[in-house]
Amino acid sequence: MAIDIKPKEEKKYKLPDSFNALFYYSIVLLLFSVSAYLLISQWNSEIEAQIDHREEFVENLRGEEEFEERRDFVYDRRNLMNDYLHLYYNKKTLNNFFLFLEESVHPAAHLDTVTLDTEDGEVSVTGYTLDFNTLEQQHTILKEFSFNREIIGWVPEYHPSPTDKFDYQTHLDFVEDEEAWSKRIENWDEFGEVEIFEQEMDDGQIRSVIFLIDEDMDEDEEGAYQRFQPNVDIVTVEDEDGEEKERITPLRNLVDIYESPILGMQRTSVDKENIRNVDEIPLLTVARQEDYRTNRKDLLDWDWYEVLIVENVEPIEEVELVGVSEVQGDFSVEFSFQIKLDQEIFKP
Amino acid sequence: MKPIITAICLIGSFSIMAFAIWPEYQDLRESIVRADVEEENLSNIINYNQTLEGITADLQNNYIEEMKKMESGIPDDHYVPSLFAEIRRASYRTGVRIEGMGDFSLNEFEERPQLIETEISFQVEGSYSNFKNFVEELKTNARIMSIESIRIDKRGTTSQDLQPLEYSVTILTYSY
Repeated sequence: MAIDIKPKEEKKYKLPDSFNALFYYSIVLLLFSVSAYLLISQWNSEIEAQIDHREEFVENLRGEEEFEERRDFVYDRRNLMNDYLHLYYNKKTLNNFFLFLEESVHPAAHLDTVTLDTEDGEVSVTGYTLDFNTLEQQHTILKEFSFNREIIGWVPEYHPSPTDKFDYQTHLDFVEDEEAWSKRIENWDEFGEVEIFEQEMDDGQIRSVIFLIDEDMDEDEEGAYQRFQPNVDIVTVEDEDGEEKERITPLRNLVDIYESPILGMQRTSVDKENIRNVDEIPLLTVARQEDYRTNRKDLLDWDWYEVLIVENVEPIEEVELVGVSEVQGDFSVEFSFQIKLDQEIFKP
Repeated sequence: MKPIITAICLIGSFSIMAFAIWPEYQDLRESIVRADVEEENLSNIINYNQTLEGITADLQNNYIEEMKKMESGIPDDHYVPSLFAEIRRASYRTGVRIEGMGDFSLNEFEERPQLIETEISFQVEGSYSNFKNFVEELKTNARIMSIESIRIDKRGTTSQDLQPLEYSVTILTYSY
């Protein structure tokens, strides 16, 4: 019996059914990846082009002659203002020195020479008296000499009402203004009332209030104020001969310039150099301290006030009698004083 | 065949993601940040330009007088004879007599190096009240003048001598 031998069938490897899905998924993934890459590249290119365009625009604008001229002009003006204010507020004036000279010399003393060096504040006085008693009195007068100095400044504007209390501690910055002060002092006699003064402007705002603070104000008192007209925009004035005389621009205008957006600040560094912290002025710190917290926010948010302050200045740091000699014949006593003055006396 | 294609597709996809899409995405993020910065720069420069225009117009139209005064206060030149002339004019106006013009020197102003400080000394004679007016005149002069020192001398030897006083004055002025 013949045996039919059949070769064994090879076992065929069969992919699982889910492989088809993987196959298509891989193709879709590849297409998606390529598309995403192209899309992102395109997007990136557009943004780069936009950036280049902006950079080019900025460069062009910066490179424009008109822009540069304008910028140079503004910076030039700003530097000029800074320099001017710095010099203006640091220049030495002799008004108070003359006052010192006139009020500190004994009526019976005779001066021969007066030498002043404003940088060091050193004064040398020589002269003679007819007796030693007068010389002693002269020495005492010099040692005790003091004077009242008036300062006008700018502080944050505040809208006072009869029930409110004004708080000096919130004055924060204090800018002295010689010209504004000198103008007001001319009109001193026109104003006599002692009160807080409000002036309503055309736009309805209450602005530019000036107070005179009594130097004798006690801590428990309300304090004394005197009001003054606030307008200081004087450019030229006529002198006694009818000639026009130039006056330096009031600070108010300059402050307005400094508040411009381009400078990005309300005050310049130079301005700050001329700012006195009210803490330095004892008259202001004692009476109103308790109101500080109440009114602080309002005061900081609003505009500026003008404030006139009277303070007592004792300008003499040292007085030394450096020489005495007796002159025979017509009897007289020659003297020589070395006096050291505080720089405060050279301020307006 | 399908497995090979599938393998190639998967490897290709992950390669593209890792070596193309991811770096490109990082670039895109950087570009977006840069674009924001540039946008801000652009906005700033436009605002700056507008502000410059406003300030320039304001200075040129509303603050002419003030600018002139400041320019007079710190002139561009430090020509000393013109300074002497100003002092002489002040003396005429106030009744003091110039006795002599002394030394002068030009120095760099330490506090503001862009400024030149001119120190000038001179002698005048006149009454005390006239001298006070003279000093006041210097103070209110358009050009900024600061008194550095003064010396007051009585001329006569006794109080009966009514001769005018002698004054030696040193002042400082400034220019660019």
